[in-house]
Amino acid sequence: MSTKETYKASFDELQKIVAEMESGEIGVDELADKVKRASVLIQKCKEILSKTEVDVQKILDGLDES
Amino acid sequence: MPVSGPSYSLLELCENIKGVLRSTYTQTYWVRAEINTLNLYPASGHCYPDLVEKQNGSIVAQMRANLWKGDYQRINSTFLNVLKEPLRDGIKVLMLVEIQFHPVYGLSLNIQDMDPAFSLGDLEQEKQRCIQTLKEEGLLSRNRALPKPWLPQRIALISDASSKGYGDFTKVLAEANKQWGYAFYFHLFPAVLQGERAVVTIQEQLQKIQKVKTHFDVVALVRGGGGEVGMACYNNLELNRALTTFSLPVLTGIGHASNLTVAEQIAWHNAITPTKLAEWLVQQFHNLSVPLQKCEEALTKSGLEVVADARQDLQHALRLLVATARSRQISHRAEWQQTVQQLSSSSRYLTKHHHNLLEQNRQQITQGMAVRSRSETLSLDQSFRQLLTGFKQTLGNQRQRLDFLNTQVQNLSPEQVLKRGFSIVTQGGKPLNNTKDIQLNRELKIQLFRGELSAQPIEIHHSNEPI
Repeated sequence: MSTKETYKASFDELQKIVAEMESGEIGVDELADKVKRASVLIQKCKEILSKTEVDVQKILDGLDES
Repeated sequence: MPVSGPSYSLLELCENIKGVLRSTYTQTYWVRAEINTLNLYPASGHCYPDLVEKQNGSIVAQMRANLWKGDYQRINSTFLNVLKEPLRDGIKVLMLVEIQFHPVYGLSLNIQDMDPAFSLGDLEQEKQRCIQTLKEEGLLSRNRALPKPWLPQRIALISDASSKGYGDFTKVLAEANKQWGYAFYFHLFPAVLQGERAVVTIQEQLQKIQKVKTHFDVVALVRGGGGEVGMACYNNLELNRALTTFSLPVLTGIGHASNLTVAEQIAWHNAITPTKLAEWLVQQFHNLSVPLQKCEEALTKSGLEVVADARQDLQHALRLLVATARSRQISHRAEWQQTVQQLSSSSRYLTKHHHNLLEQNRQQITQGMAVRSRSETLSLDQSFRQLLTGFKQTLGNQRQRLDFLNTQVQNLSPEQVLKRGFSIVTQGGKPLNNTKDIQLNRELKIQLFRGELSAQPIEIHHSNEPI
């Protein structure tokens, strides 16, 4: 799964939870679980924005091949 | 071949030609040509431009020219001012020339002045030609048609590390990282960013990036500072062809105030300065981050609302309960108090009433008793007296009657009767008063007042008549 797909899936699920909560479909009983799940998703999305997985060595190796 | 007529030395010929030319070309002329090479000699400051005219890419005319230091400096300054381009190779010029012939250097043109407006128009035409060509080749929108980079995070940066533009660009990205934690990665592919050399070096860097393109999301062409001279390179057809056909989105931030260059027009995204380009990149992060944050806020808000709603419901229920209980209590208390009051007042009333009744009774009784006892005493006395009187009377009467009866009784006693001469006849001890009861020849006893005798019935005469 690519970063984009991970992000999209997480964000979509997050929005679903938000929509559910905003429409009042979630009761107090489910609240804790949903919020917990949502915070995991938020964390996941935030990590994508705050981390780059770049292998600099690979870039340099690629530039040397010629 | 034998010589017939006079012969001339080379110099004589040259001098002759020179004389003919001078007499024929007596003035200066405006001539259109392309500076094939400028041939500036920095030491002397003079230029010896190679002028050409091309038709369909082939040189159809060519001539050397001289541009002396003073003229060059003046003209170049005007060009920089008007065209934002220096005098350089490849530029088309309209120049004021004097035709000169030198026995050693041959035919050449002494350039005295140039019209920058002509060159400007030509540059613009060149730009339009570039656009037209790209359009014809179907390349004008090639790069822009690439899919939007989902998150332009890894940047192949074509720039000059010493330039202001590079500094501005990287500063914004660093700030975004510091402020919002956005992670950018960029790798510098150094290039000359203006003038003739730019066309070549930028293309070289694009070729390098091509090899490692999987590591990058976008290519950013960043330039800024160092004046706005030499921007015509960005209208170069070859460079633009390389840019537009590149397989990654090309972003430009080449900071200048003049009209958009072709490179900027074909770029996937163009920003007017390196700073703006960096801000645009940051914005792409915002575009993902802000909805995320909104979700987070909405989540918090909704979560709090759910809790608050529940709490409110609870409080509402509680208040209702308390209110109901209280009102019940109050109504019960009121009822109870009412009952107590009713009870109290009615009991008081009853008590009083009964007391009154009792009192009344008592009074009545007392009164009645008094009256009655008095009257009864009276009537009793009376009755008694009456009774006594009656009794006396009755007693007197009875006595009289008794006396009378006694007298009668005395009168009817057998003795009295016997005394008066009557006798009692008995037969077998049984007194006789009817002849029919007499048995003949049976002894009769006859009692007299004094004495008794016996007799015997001989004959009986029955009387039919009652006595």
